[in-house]
Amino acid sequence: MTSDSPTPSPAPATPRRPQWSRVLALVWTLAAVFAVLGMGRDGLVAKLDGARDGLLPAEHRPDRGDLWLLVGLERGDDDKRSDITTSTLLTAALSIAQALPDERVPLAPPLNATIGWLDAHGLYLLPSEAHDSLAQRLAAEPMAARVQGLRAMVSSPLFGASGIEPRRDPLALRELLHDGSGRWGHADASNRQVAAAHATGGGDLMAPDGRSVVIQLRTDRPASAVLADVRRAVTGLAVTVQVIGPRATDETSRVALTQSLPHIALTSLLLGVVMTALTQRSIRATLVVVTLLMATLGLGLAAAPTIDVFALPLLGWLIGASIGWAGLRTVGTPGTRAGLIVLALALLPLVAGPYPLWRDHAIAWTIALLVTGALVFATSPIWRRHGTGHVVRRFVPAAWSSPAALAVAVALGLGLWADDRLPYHAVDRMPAPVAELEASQLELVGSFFDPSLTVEVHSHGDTLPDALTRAAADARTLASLVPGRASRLDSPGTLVATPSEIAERRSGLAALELASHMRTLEATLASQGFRADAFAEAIAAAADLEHMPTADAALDSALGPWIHRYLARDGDAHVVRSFVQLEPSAVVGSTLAVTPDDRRLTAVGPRVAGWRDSERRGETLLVLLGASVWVGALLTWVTSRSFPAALAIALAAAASAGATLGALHGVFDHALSPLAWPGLLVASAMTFAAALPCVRASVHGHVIAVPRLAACWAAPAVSSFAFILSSEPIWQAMGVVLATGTVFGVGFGCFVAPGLCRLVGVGHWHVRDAAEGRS
Amino acid sequence: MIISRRDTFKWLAAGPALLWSRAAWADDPRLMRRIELWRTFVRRNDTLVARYTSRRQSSMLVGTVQTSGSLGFVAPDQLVLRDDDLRGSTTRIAGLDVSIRPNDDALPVATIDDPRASAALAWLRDRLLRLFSPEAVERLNDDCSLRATPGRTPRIEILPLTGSMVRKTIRRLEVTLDPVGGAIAKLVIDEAQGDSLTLVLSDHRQGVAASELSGLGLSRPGGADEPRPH
Repeated sequence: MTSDSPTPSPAPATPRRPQWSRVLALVWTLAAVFAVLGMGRDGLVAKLDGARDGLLPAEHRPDRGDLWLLVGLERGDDDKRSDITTSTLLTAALSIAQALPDERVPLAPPLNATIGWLDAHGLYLLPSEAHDSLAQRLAAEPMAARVQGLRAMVSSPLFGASGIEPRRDPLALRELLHDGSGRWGHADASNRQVAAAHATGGGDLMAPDGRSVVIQLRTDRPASAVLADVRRAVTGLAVTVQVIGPRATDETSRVALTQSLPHIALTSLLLGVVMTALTQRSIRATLVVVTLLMATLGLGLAAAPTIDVFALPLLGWLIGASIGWAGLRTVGTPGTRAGLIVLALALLPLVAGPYPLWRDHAIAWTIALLVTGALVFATSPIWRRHGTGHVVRRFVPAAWSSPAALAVAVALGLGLWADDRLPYHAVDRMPAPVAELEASQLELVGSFFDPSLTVEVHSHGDTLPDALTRAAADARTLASLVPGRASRLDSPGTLVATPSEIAERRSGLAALELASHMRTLEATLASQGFRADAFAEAIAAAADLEHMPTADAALDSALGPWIHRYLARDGDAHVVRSFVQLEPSAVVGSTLAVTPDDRRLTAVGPRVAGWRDSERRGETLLVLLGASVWVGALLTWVTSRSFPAALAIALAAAASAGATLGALHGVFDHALSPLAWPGLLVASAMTFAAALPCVRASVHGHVIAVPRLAACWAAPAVSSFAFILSSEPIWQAMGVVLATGTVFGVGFGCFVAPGLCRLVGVGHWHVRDAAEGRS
Repeated sequence: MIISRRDTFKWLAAGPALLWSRAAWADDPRLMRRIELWRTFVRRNDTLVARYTSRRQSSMLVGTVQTSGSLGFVAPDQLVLRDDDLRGSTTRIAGLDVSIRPNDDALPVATIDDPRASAALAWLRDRLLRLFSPEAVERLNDDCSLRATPGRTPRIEILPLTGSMVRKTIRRLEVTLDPVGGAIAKLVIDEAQGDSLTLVLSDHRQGVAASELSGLGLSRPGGADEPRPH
């Protein structure tokens, strides 16, 4: 560490060093110019990545291939209302299906396919427990009563529209199917306030009010290209089309990012120039520093493979920190090297965390800080001043032990209080970039289903029919989750029976002697004035026990294309994906349910990752802060060879993190989320960076430029300001925590740590007497 | 006679005429006259009791099923059709809800669609209610198109909108009015599968006492004019 140099004196810099520094600076700047020109504006825009679920573990991220088209009727004037009906929607859906034949998949089983399947196999799909009620219905007297009831209802004017289809189902056996098993293809909670959506003839979902239709696509093309094709297909029809899905969100977010990038860049540049000018107080130095930092920024952007929305606030912080550094190097303030190392290692605890993006950014942060630090060190002879043109206030850092202890106690208390009360927005609840995205999502959620609450359960099998049979078994267990923990089950297994079920039911059905009952039914119908011919098909299908709803039969039937949309390949195994929409308040353990034969059904989906994240919230906070404080304490000990000093500054670091949490809740009323982790780590690391020189000076009784030190280290807070003022919610959240953490870190480091060290009784701080080195 | 009635009521209709002029039937004088005829009766339809004969023809029936019964209506949205025969059924519309139950309690009740999920059921329910409701003058052609059937008998044809899902179930509803009073004499519902139901109404009585209505299971809304026993 350099010794103090309070009096201005011309440093005996050798003439060659500034030259070498100049050469380095020139080479760096030229390299940056070439790199940026080579990348070009398009190259930069191409690197932008709008994905907002980078914090989710990879297996829980929503499948990017899924896209939904929400087609709604235009809200025209009342005069034109007669032209716009549900049929317009059906025509639009048909046009879209014709325009995108390979990409459109049936979301729900097509209506006629379902009716045909149930007509043919309805009895086999009844659980064995229902055979008693079936037998009761087939007994002579109840059968006669039912036919009489039918005849009674026939005289009602509303009978034709009532949905009773005696020709298909004279004994209303379909009612037995609906007890407890819900709607076909997907099971809805039966206590819904609003009627559920229903399938159209083509296999799309129609809202209960008939004003919108959802079509599912599986595609790898960008959402904008798909939307253009769809709009072309529906020209002339009075419908509006919106694209919803993870890829659509990515692209909208990317567009928003591209639009806000110039503003943030300009604001940051202006703030950066102002801060540099304030810290350097010399035009030449300001220009040099700004040019070097912009060159570094350019090289960094050119080298980065992608730039996502989470990286930019961190980048802004880094720029602010570099400016602060340069300011410290200008006057030769001690302790910058140790501070640099502490800050470079600040985000490393995130590498062990469950957030993939934070892992990548932590490593990039370390490299960027070390490179920038090295550059600033190497080129500082160019713009360093030896002899300041004005008086820099220097004094021995005050070490008030009692106020320091009080501050630490209050801060820790505030931190605990805030942690208790702060709501937590888990990793799957990142705010949306634009309001339209929210509005269209809400429309989808209101009438149809909620993709953000949907999790997938995979059923494996060696062959496709095996996988489907396994999915059928799983579907029985999953259906029991509705309506308690789940509000919707979407699985092809609900229409298929497993071989064991079929065998069981076959003997039960054979015992019912359906053929003779059907003959009785014919006679009863005739006696009540019905024409038995009209019911012939239904009667024949009921008596036929040879056609069973096996997986093979389902794949060959008209339901085949619908079943294919649930399929995936996992190596050699075939996988059927079932979708469960959870209740918002449901507890989602790693095991969703256990089947009767002790197989555990695990789910993947953003909600699972989010739930796990919320469960581990306290643990994550403790581990991250603990690791950060430990690294800082280790560095302090290495620097000072004083164990009590390390402990005292570690306590100050914990207090500054606590104060940041307290401010987050008390002042800003934000929620805690994984976006806050970098800010809290920065608070702790900044405490160390600011404390090292201050405590050292306090122990030895030297003077250092405390205000300058504090102002330079707090420079990143100013650059985070630009992000707080932006309109992107993620930037606001991150900016607030980063800025607050920086300010509290500097405050606790400069003003509280010396007092704590005095309290603890630190009397000795290691000094390297032969440490001239590079000051 | 129709012409003289028109002159008489021209002044009475002056007020709502402004509303009517933007109705879709303004450009069809025959339809206008028939709507006016209907309106003269429906105006006093606070409560209504009538006798009906219902006849259903269907491909699943050997002959026609014929029943007779009583119809009760209480404005604005309660309608009951009760067959006399124990082997018949009672159709009840109350607000948005619809129920059809056999008169014999021992017979099982088949589940019918929820009107919120079935466009056709909701449409038919609304048409029946609005045919009897005095407040529904301007809303008569919501969700449907009206046509005056050619001929001297005053008949109005109510069709679902072109391309609407309702057409898959109900093709046509035809209302025949009594030329003298404007009362609804006959309703014919044509269904998509070729079935049809004809409802012939007679003995219309308006402004009926609550006791007769309660016999049909209807109640006056509010009941504020009934003295409450303390």
